[in-house]
Amino acid sequence: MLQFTNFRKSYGYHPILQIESLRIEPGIYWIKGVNGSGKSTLLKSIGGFLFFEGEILLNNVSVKKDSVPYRKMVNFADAEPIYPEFLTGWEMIALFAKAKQATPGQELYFIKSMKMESYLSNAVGSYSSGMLKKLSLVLAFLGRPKVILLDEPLITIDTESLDILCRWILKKHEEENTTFLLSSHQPLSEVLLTKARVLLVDKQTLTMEK
Amino acid sequence: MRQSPLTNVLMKIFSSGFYRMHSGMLIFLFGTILCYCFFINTLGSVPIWAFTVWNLMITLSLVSSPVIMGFFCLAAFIYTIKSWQYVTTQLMAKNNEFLYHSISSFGKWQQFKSWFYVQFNIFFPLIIYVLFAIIIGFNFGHYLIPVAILLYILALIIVSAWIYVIRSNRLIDIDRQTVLIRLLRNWNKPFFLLYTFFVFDKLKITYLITKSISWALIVGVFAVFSDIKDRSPVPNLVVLMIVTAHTLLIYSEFRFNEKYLYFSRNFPYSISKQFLGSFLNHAILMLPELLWFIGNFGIHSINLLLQAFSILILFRSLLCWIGLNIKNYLIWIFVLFNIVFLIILYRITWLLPPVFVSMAYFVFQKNYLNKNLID
Repeated sequence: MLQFTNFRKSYGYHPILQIESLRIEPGIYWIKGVNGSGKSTLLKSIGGFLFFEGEILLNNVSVKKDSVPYRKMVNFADAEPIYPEFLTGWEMIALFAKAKQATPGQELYFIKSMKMESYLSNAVGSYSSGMLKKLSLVLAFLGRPKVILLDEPLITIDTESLDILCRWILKKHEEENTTFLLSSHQPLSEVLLTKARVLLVDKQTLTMEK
Repeated sequence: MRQSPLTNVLMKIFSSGFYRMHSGMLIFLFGTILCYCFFINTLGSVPIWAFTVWNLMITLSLVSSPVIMGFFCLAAFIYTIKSWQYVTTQLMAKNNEFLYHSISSFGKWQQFKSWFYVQFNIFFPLIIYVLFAIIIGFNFGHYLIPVAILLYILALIIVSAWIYVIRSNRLIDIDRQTVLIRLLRNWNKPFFLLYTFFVFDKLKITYLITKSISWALIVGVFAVFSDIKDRSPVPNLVVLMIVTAHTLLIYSEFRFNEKYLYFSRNFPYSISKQFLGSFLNHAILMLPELLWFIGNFGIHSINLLLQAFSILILFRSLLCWIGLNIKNYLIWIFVLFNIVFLIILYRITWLLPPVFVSMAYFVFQKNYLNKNLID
């Protein structure tokens, strides 16, 4: 369970998000909000990227006080991922697998289903934006995270891959009860929509839509 | 006369960008020369006529001595390489990719003229100094060397413009990798050494220039103070200068982490691991100097290496607080340099490791999530 207490994130003197108290039970959540409303800021705060005031707890583990165990439980995929250009896709996967303590061969299912084998030996600098996006999604699924944060996961990838991603999300949620927070301007697929609840970022706060 | 659109765009991206990026270095370099030439005072009673001669000593040596001219030409060449590195790096930047399909539509002569103008602007401080040297040279009866220097500078501009024309018309090889990266392709690169690979892939010239400065300091300072015997603060001063010479590499490491390793903030690494991890890169990059100090000072090198470590780690941690604002960063480096200089002069360098490392850890721990920065 993800829990916010007196959460406040501002840039300079400009407040972006304030959440007095909110509990998010395990599930699939679609984070909606207009451009600049603070969706990415919210995800990056939960992911342990950004400083904020207040507290975020995941299963009573604090991102501030227990940063190492917390980060083991939270994975993140950026909207526009950037990786060192000289590393290959395989090297990126090996790096994340080690950091996130993935089981040996865990990545193979994801790589095979997204048909990524042909280019993973190439340097990341030669990837198209779609290829990079797929790589970032694979990396976000490695290890045994309790929460996976996907920032704009539906942009730049082809329609066939969108269906595959949808299957990954459902499978991971059903098998491991992993929580997904997806920020997206694009509508989710029918299957995901039936499962997902909506979190609305509006007027500098986060509310659960009934 | 109205500038062509091509020249206008190239000037904005490359000339203005070059000055923005290297403002600190340029102000220091040309500011020092300017101050020396015009404002330096001499101790003791000096006849009025001698003031002018001494103030112009550097410039007069340049226009009268072939050796000094050789040094000047070498310095101008290093400056040119720096500008080549900047322009080619910018040409490869994603936001400048449009240049490849816009520049190449102009005629080659037009392209050459525009690039010539860009390089002329980058060389502007040098050209002003050369013109000043010519006036002084002609006044004091030296004609050949000033003209030779002017022709040399002109040749550098022409060659640079020609290189830029070739580079901007070449097809991009997106899978191009250096030999080192190709050789180590099958080796899983440790996370905390990724910056070292980046340096050998993309920052080779910066690294070579830093190493040249570093070795010039070691050779030069020890030669100048060769008559001073044991327990002198000279090695401590050299260590301080070497670490300061690595400022650009330290800054680039932070920039690399912010840009390419941003994802790693989500990695379950403890603060102390992150704090010390980045130091590994610098230990590898400074390995030649490290070995030199161990070879020359034996057991006493431990103190010097601890001093280097504490200064370097504080220089690095400061960036977490200041961010990528190079101007503010250089001001802080300048302040710290002077503080350490005084500490060395008062021979209390034993203070550096406990105080600087604690300060560095405190600054890092408070700011590693970029508390004060806008994401």
